[in-house]
Amino acid sequence: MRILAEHIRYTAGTKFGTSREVFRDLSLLVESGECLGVIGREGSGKTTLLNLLGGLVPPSGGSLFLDGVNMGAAPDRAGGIRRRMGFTFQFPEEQFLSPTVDEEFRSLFRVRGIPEGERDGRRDAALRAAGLVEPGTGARSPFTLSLGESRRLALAFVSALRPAAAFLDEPTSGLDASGAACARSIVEGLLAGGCTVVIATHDLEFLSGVARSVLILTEGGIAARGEAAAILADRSLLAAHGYPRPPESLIR
Amino acid sequence: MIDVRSLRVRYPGADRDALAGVSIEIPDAALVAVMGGNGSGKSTLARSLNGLLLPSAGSVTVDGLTTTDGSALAQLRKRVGMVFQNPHLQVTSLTVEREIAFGLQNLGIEHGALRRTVNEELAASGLAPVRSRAPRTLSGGEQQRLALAAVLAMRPAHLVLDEATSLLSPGSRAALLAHVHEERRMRGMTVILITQFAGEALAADRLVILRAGAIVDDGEPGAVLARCTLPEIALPPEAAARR
Repeated sequence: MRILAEHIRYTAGTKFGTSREVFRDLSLLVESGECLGVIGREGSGKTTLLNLLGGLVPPSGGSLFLDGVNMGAAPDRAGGIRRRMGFTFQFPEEQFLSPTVDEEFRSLFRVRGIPEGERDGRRDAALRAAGLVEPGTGARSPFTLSLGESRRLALAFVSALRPAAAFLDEPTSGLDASGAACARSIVEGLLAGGCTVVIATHDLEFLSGVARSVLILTEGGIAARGEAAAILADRSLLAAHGYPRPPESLIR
Repeated sequence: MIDVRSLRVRYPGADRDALAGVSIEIPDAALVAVMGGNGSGKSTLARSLNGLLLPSAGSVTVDGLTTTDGSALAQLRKRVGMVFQNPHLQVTSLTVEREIAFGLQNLGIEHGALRRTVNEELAASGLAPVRSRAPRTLSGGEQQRLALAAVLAMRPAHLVLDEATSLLSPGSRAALLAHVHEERRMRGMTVILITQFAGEALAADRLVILRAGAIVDDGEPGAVLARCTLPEIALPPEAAARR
């Protein structure tokens, strides 16, 4: 999916009378099949940017085009676009609704119209990919999972949906080393299927393995954007935005 | 001192123990790191230390107070500060500064000292510029900083950090941990640091590795990581290169 944001303005907190401008005039193109990493200090707007690009929150101004569809102006076509997207949130349990892991998959597949015959296979492959292989996982309540396991489950959902665009918010936070490897192969699988992937993270090591381009957010907008290898090796640029050193893989 | 003896915890309806006989003694002012895979029992151990979870068997004793003694629990919880992975579980107030003041008010701290402590923690956590904002409007990382600031403000004797900096940039994480180390140095606070970052574990006096609810290694962090062959444990770069 091709993502084009034009002159996005976003003001947060208007409901509470404490409004704060997060983005003034942000324009951004993410090509179909691209993997874009978003980094920046806490509060720089990474989560907000993902929510805007994914159409979860409407911008206060400007336009978002997903595969050429103006999401604000064509509500009849926006629904179809939304059904081709996948999300993982910073707090993964916020996206769980069902009493068991299996039911969570079932309702997800139903909503997305995944053919009956494919469902079990997709679920099993996704749980394996996420390293959730302990027998009985399907019957567990997702709310009894540890934070790391919850994050793996959220990644499994996205993997099973095979979306055209995936928005992953801190996908490796709280994951152990094997979980981070699972996250990486899930992202690689998504990219191999032509999915556009946008990742907000502080995990530069992870980004250096999967991202083609990296964007640094700062208060109010984009501080830098470029090839992942160039941005992630730029010591002074990284240091200015809260990252004392480049990822190890780029140092060696 | 924290004394955990043969601690077994099984959640209702589960078919295995989340902790299956864990024993560990943590002397005052120690800095102990805990690493382990997802679901290995790290958070269960953390929550057992201040009596949020009670033992199915075995015991947890903090400064002579036992978590199963209902009359001691309030006192015990004052001594053990706890910062969760998910700040939503503990951030409740309408503004950032009220959140930091909340615990102090409950402790009956007088107004002048309360003001001073709140200002100190706002400065140390870097949250002074957002002191009047509603915590829910902060980013995930900022909420983690707030949760830590509010717990540190209460000057606990022992601090349990359950992957409490997982949403922070490496720079902020280092700054916050430096603040924790400073508090520890000044007040002799015990720190139990649950982490996925080998670099943080290396700064501890001692590293405990949990797997499937049991301690599988416990010792000097550099030595423990050097001999660690578990795929779920992130190693420092030099050791990772050897893997």
